[in-house]
Amino acid sequence: MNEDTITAQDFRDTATAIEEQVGHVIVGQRELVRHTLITLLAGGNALLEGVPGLGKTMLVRTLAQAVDCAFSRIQFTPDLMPADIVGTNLIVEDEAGRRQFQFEAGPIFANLVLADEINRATPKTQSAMLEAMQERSVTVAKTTRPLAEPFFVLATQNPLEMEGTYPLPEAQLDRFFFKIDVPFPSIDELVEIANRTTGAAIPQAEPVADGSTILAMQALARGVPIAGHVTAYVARLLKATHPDDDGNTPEVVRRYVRYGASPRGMQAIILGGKIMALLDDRYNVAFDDIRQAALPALRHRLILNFEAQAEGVTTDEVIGMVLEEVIADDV
Amino acid sequence: MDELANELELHLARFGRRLRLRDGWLLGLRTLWIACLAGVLIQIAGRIQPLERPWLWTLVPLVAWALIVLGISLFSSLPLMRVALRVDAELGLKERLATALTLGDWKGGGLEGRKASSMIPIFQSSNLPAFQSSLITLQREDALTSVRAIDPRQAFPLRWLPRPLGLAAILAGMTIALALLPNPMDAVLAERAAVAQALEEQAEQTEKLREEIENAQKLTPEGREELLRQLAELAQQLRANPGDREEALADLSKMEQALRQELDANSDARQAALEGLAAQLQALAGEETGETTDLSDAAEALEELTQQLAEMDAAERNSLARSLAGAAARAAQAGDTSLAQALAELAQGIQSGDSEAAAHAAQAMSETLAQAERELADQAAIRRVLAELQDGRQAIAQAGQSQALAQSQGQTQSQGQGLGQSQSPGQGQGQSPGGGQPGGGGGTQADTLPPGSSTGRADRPQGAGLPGSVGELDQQVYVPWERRQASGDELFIPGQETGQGETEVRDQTDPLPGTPGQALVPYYEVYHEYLDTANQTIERSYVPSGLRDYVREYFSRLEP
Repeated sequence: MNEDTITAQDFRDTATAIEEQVGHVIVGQRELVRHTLITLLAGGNALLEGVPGLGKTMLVRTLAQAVDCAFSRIQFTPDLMPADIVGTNLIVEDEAGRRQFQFEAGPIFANLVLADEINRATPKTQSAMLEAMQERSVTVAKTTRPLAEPFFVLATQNPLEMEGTYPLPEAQLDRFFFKIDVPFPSIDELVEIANRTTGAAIPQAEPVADGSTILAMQALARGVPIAGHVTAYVARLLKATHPDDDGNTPEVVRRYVRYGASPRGMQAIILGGKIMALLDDRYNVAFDDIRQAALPALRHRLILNFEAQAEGVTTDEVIGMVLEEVIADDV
Repeated sequence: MDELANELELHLARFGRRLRLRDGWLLGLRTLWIACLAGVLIQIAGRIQPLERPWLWTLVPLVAWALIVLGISLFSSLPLMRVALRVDAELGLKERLATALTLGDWKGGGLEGRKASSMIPIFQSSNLPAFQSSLITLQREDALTSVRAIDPRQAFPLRWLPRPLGLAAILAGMTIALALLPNPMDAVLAERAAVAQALEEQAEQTEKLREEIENAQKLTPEGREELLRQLAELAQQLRANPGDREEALADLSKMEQALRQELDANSDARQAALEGLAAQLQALAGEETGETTDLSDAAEALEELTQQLAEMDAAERNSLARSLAGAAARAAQAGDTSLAQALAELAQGIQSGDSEAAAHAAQAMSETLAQAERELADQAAIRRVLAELQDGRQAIAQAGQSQALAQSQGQTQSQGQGLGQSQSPGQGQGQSPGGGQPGGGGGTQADTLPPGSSTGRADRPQGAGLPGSVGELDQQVYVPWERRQASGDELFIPGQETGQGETEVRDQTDPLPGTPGQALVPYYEVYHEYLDTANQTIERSYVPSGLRDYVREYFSRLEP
């Protein structure tokens, strides 16, 4: 399918099929799967934060199986070098015995890349990864090589082991489309996980889409119309996250926020809203779509101050209060 | 305008009408209690202050409420975009309609003339990919599909709001109960209406009196003008009065006082003297006198006498002169100095035999008589006006009092002593012809009034049967005598002949019968002062309303 042939119904059907296939392997975590899929369909990259063993790697791998795309996993360690990610030129000897440089592609040359524990690598290595995410290309020895399309990076962070890590700087965090929290499964989900993963049969996902379909879905999602007053609402939400704004700033932002979200946050909200609308069998973005997309789009883009940290106020709480205070209908 | 946009606008217009109706309905339900509360307050106000037709005023806030609600329902502005947003929000359409309306604007039709700045344009170019155009079309069709399935009446029902309606019902019940319960102000309003009626009648009566005086022939120009002015002023005051009894009585009393100041206490005596003079002149002229003597007859008799002078001998002239001198003395005694002087000059002219002087004096005498006649006519007119004013005051004082008096009599039967008797001390004079008898009949039937001391004012008439020595008024009052139709008894006052100067023999008829005693004041001269003091006390002190009416009735019966 391409962008001219894919329909909205195809979009919904394909997305539903992907979710179903992933659901065969991943127990529960519906919001995680949905938001990850939205990030993929929006052409962005996702940052997952959760304790080890919750299926983050399994999710990306299963997703890659469902969309029949190449998958690679990069385990970030403190000694990881940029060349370990992007690749490097190696000297090889041909049959004639002549030595020449041959580019050996790194694991980043895949469609779906899992950057596991990205905060463990050095800033230099992180920046190489993040630059590739941003540019969708890799430059090695003055040669620029484009990355595969579609290209989707799912980075993870472990909130438990922060000692000896290199937390991503705010400017780098801003490059992630969504930040998705991975909750601990419920008891029922744990039972199901046990049943699925400790038995003889290991569930597998069947491919229901391919790279071109994903690209077509990405293009179609961008075509969903959004009314002016809805866009204005997103802009008001974004402005409300800045503590140095005019008198319309909510008190919670004035008190706990050091820096507000960038315009990338607004782009993420709108694109996420468009995809949510299509998945909801609608052809326009609604206020509810905006509210649903606001949390994953903004939680890593708000920088809280020391008072918030001292009082244990989270970005989710601040975003929730901002959503309550900013009125949607302001035409 | 394309068909989709057209159809969407039609649907939105339908929803707009329904939303406007529902907004007005809810506004009406939420605010009905305010109109009912206003009704309750008006009813309460109608019980505290006399209010004409309180039930009509109670309807005013209801009518105003209905007009406002109707106006908002019919004429409040509700743009299509606002309708779309409200329908989306209330029916959970997820901004389908608002987005479709905006996309219709992009289509280049359907929203011409509307403020483009009110909507942020989505697309700047019509060169869109096919899939995007199809999405737009799908969105608009999706919106229309949603809206076609919605019935505005079912989607936006006119709900009842129990709490505000319950409150309005309670307040409406209170309003009706207050309207149905007996209102003490009804009696006040009835009394006020009766007083207003009496005032109108009195104003008409005053106008008629004014016409009579205007047409009267014998009044002096100054007297006529003054009376007309005062009557016109009084009529104006009465007509401007909305029904205030006290104010009307005060206006009447004020005019009465002004007129009484112009009243000549000697006018009756003067009238009698002039009539006596006229009769005497007629007798001297040899004319027959009727039962009543007109002063114009005196002028004719005088003229006749003047003509007869030439035929009189000295003895006749002297006799005539003596008669005229006696008349002059009586005129002087009656206070008519100008007439006395004219008579004396005529007597002197006749006695001296100077025909020319006598004729001149006779002419002056005629003019004096004419002037005296006009002045007496003025006094009669004043008395006539006073009588009318007194009648009017009584009518106004009694207007609307019958019911209140019946109540007050029931309250006051067991109270008080004969205070009213003190008002008529019984030491009057001349109540009956022959005079000298105690009058005592000026009292009222107010035997059941409480003693004056109960009102706490030292200057009140006090006690029972005491003479009218009251506070600042140390004179004794009496009931004035009535003007006697015939002349009084003849008196003989012995004189002493000294042989010097002129000798005069006067025949005097004393027009003032009565017994000699202390200076006496006609009660009508102090009546108003008593009345004013009583009215002030009634207003300042706590006196039951029934007793107030009783006091007013008492004084109205005492009116001269």
